[in-house]
Amino acid sequence: MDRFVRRALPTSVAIGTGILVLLGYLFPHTVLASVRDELIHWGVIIAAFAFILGFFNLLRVHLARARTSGGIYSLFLILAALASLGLTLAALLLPPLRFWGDWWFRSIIAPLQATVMGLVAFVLAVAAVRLLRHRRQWEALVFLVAVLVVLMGTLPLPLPFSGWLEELRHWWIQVPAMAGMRGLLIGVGLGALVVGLRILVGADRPYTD
Amino acid sequence: MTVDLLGLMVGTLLTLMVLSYIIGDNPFYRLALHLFIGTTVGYGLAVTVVTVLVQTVFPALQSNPDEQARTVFPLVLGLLLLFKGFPRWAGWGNLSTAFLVGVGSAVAVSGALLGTILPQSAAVGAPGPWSILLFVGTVGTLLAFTFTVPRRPAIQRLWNWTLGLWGRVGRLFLLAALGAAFATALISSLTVLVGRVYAVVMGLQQLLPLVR
Repeated sequence: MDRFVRRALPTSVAIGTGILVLLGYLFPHTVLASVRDELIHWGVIIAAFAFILGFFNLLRVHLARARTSGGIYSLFLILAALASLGLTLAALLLPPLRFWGDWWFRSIIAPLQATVMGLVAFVLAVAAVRLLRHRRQWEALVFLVAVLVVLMGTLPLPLPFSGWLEELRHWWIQVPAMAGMRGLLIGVGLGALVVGLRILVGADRPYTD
Repeated sequence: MTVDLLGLMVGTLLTLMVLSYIIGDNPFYRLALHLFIGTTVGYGLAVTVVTVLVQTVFPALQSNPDEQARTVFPLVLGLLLLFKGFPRWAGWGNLSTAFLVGVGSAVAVSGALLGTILPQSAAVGAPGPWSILLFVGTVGTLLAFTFTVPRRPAIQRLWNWTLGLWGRVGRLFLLAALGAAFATALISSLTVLVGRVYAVVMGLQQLLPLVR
């Protein structure tokens, strides 16, 4: 019984639902499409519970870490998570408290997210400098040329040949970069296809203990 | 002090704490990063709970019997998933995980096949002024990831050599694509960074007179 619940039943569910959803995509004008939509709707509801589980797991991990030396950061993380959850829930469910939810988003979440995103510029610049310092090969040169072509063609520089740079950037993105990106996309797609098919035929079972 | 002014102070302070990473890893940056993770996760959970549970599941449970029947099954699976939080009972969550993995892999397979591989492969053969270069670049990029060559008779070594050369040309196209993606990401993040620096300057302009 235990083995059935732990292994056989989950494998049957994964293969069955997976094949039904896949058939729904391959034959979209049949009853299978509505079955697919229903199963995906169920998946969204279950994924919400996965988010809840992940949230409490994060709290549990950081609660354990907060008791150790140097756990002050974890304590702040827990407080921030609970405050963010409470204020956002209150703002979404109770209209009189909407102001405080908006204030929290505008004053805390938005500045933090935007600045962390902005910090990526600094990290990318440092990575480019390190690349040129440690890997002085022709490949690094091609990479640098690609970066410069796109950067110079995008920025509104007051140069006499800026129109030509813009055309070069347009061609670069439409032809060589497009060819490289298309090859990458097809490669990633083939990889995803193989991984997905292995799960759908039961060769990989990441859901069993 | 008004609430808006307090928000301006907190936002400016958090921005400076994150930007302090430019001078190296430090406690202020680490604190800001932990606050970033906490607030983002809390906000994400609140939006998920309201969108899925409050606005979809609870109304369906109070609706007609058909809607109730449609909602009870995923609700039970969702509740079973919570058993994963307790190591002793984690096995009961396997069914829900299997459901998610099954649906997720089917969506991934169909997305990869119908949304990426077929349209991109069709676009490779589309006629145009640079179609040959696009074909050479796309196939070359795929060949650039060929790291093993089977032992073949002498006549087929020429074929292997040709494919190897094509793959090396493909690396150029790959670098062209990665360089373009790098530059685009740099421009996007720089735009956001300029916006934050501007917000800090404006914030300090409003806050400094109050200090004096």
